[in-house]
Amino acid sequence: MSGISVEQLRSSIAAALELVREGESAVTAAGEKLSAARAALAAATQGSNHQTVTGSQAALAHAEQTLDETLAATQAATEQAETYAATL
Amino acid sequence: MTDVQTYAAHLRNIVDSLPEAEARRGLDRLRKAQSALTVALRESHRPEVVKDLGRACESLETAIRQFAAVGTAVDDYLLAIGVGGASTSAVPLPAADAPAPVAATEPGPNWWRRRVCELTDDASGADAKSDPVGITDLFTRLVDAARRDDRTTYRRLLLTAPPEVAVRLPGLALPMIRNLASDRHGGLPTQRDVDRLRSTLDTRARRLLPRLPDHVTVDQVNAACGHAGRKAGGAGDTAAVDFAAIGPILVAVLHAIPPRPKSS
Repeated sequence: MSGISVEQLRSSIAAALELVREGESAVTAAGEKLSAARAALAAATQGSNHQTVTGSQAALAHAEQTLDETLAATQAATEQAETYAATL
Repeated sequence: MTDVQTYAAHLRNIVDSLPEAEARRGLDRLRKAQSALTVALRESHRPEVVKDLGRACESLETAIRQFAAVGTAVDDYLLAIGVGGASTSAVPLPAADAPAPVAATEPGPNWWRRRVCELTDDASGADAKSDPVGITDLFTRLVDAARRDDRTTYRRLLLTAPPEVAVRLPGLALPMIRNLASDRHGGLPTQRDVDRLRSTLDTRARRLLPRLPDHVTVDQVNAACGHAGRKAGGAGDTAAVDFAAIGPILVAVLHAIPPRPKSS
């Protein structure tokens, strides 16, 4: 075993989870801006079937989905880490 | 500004509004968290926590790549409707009821070559044939020609580059300019630091692009370093050509400056 105490371990986990929360906050802000950009692009290119337009709309939809996946993964990590910290 | 240019500016503003900065900030925090938890939990038999954060980082990286793809797709769309140009604009975002896309009056690659002829102060070659070339190859050859101060080759490469490829040069040049400027300055240069470099940059740029407007070198270094300022594209096609043409020169010039130790 290393020399790290339980208190130090709890403190390290708490500090890391604070970083996760900051990351989640940035991702949430990104999601809000992305929704606005998606709506603006849809309005600006309404009626266009050009493949670059459909491609950019698909890319934005994919980006939105991956932001959701990011938050789902961080929430899973947070729950696991908090559960572990509670058992210490 | 024509309706088409206004529409192009609107689309570029939408691209500029994509939350890449937020996503990168989130990615930075999650990577730090992952690193911290990797150390803290190394003896806990809880690898899934670290794996979940790794998955989160990968998703976020995918989102950032999608933002870049949207920028490219919008550039391609604007080229297709005859506007062309780089992916940013300083023009304020107009109302959402921007005009529908209409065909440009002068589509085709001549807008690119005409501007190259103007920048190089040589009217010949405006009807040159495009030479199919990939963006990385084009960039490498331009940097090499700039490094050798080979004006003839630099001009020929610009004239024969397919415009839809050449307008993406800033995508390769800007990150390199940022890294080189930081290395050579010993840290990310401020706008004032960039201004001090101006005469060096302008002198070298003018050897290859004698009619380049005064502000373009400094604007590109400032843009690369994330400083606010004039951006490419707002003035239409010419600004896009200027911004694309100067990047490889700046990379060559900065590369030739010896690095300084990092400032603390």
